[in-house]
Amino acid sequence: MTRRRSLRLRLLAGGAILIVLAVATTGLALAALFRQHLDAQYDAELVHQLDSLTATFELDQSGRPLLRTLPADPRFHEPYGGRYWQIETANAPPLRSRSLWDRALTLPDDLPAAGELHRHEVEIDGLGRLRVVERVTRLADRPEQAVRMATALPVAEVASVAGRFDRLLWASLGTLAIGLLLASAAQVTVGLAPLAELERALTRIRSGAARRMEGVFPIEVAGVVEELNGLLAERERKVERARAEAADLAHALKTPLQLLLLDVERMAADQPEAAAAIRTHTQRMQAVAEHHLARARLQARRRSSGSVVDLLRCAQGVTRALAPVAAARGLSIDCLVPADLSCPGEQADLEEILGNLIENACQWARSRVRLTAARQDRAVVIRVEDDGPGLAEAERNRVLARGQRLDETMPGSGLGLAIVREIVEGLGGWLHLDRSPMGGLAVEAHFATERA
Amino acid sequence: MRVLLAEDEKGIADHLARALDAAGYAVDRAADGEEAHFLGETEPYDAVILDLGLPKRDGLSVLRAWRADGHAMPVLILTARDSWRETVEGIDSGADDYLGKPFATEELLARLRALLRRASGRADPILRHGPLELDPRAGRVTLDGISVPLTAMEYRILAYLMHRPDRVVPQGELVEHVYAQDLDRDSNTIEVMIGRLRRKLGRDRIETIRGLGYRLGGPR
Repeated sequence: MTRRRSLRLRLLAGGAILIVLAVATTGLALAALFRQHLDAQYDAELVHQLDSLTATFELDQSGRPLLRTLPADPRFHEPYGGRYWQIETANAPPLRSRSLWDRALTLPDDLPAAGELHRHEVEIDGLGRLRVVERVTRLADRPEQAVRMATALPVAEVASVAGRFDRLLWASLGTLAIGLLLASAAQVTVGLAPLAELERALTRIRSGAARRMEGVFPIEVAGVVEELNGLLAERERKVERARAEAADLAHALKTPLQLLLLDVERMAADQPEAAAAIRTHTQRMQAVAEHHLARARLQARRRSSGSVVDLLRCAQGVTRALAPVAAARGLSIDCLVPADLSCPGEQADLEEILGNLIENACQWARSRVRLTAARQDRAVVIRVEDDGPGLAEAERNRVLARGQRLDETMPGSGLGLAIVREIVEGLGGWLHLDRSPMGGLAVEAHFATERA
Repeated sequence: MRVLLAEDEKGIADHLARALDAAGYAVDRAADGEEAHFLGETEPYDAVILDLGLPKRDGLSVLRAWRADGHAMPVLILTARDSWRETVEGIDSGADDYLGKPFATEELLARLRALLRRASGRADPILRHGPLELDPRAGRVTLDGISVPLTAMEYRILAYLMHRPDRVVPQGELVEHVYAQDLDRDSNTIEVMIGRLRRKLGRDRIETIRGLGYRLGGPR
């Protein structure tokens, strides 16, 4: 399964985009609003100073402009102080604030109509860019004489105030955005937690630790859980039925196959080759049927976890049963199992393992079969070996190779080993084939145990 | 040698009965556990072939009941090959050997011969008495190495006597062990058979102990 885009990532990305957009819009709007406000405020200041100039200004007899009182703002008196004024008349040198020092406010040529306010931004050498408000005033007693008055302040001052505000604004909005992103991440994590819980529950089912999904789920997920549990139960019923059918089928095949085998014996005298062929095929069919029966039996057996069985008792039962076979072949079976050794599994499992392994060894042995069992580190190892011809390494590997078909695993006796492997692996152990120092095949079953 | 065959599957039972008969055994058949139990309790069998999966009463319980009542005849159980639990239980309940199904007839006959041999305490598969030899595997009798043709009934009588070379076998016992249950039993026939055996093997091969029965005689 390829992993699609993560839901969590999608929710987080969506949240982040929204938060960033909202914060950015708010920030831009606030900055613009403040800029507007700032402009209005500075403009009001310039106009107010212009008004003050107008109020204190007069012309003397010769028509030269003069101020009755100088404006109070100290910035007008220091050179390049930051606030400037200038009064121009037609036939006298202009009057300027001390702060202008040796500079002049060079105004554009468009002369405002009387009483009209004009706003400019002008670049004055040495003063930088200035914002200027100008007005033309005519005095009531000298209406023919136009007086052009202007006040100015540096654009940089406005920009610096705006810049300070913007920095503060973006810093606080950034903090807000980070907070919101963290909150959104937390929300997504908390909101998606039931999904993680769902995944854990499913993993437990797959690993066999649970048969259905357990736990308390929020109502949005509970429906899914309920459906999944229904599906699991349905699947279990179907598997159970299939298993029962396989067992029935295998069982139903057993008797006809035995009959077929017995009938073949009678035709062996007349047609030995055909009889041998039919016998081989029949035995193969029987092996398959028995394998499926054994599997069905194995799977139907409910194991209580952690059950252990006394190995010596199992070994003795099996060797007792095999004694006549061994005696008939002139074999001795050595049973070297310590008295206090227990092994995971149930008695039936261990008897099946030992029975198949020892019977198999008896088929190949020349004179001796040996069963040893011991605790090695944290495992119990059961070893069955014989002094027969054994298997070459390639054959040994082939026998246990995964996916090996039953009828190919080992000519004549593959069934036993296949069942043994199934049981051993079902108990969490593993099977290992080796060459025995006695000469033949050694089969080892390893079981991990809790205690050392 | 008289054998009880307790097997519910008719096809298999038919086949085995034929094979056992051909090998010189007198065969009684039981198709369910109760019948098997009854026959085992009442008839003196030399061996029993017992399928564990019998209807009405399972083979294990039949076997336990026999052993509890002191019946010690050798019992060969037929088990599913894929269930060692059943096999071990069978052996622990008193069976003398097991044979996993499916099996070849020859395997069954060999196991049966081995059981009978062990029951009579011999190691040699061939029964010998002086120059007389009986090979139960081939169903062949030789005298001084020369094959002696015998009828089935003659063979059964001789085999029974040769399994008990030192005992006097009463005529009644002989009747019980060479006839199957359903055959007409006639002790006169036994006398006729003994007479024929003496003609084929020599007069003193089989002695008549008056009032007691028959015994193998002549040089050992």
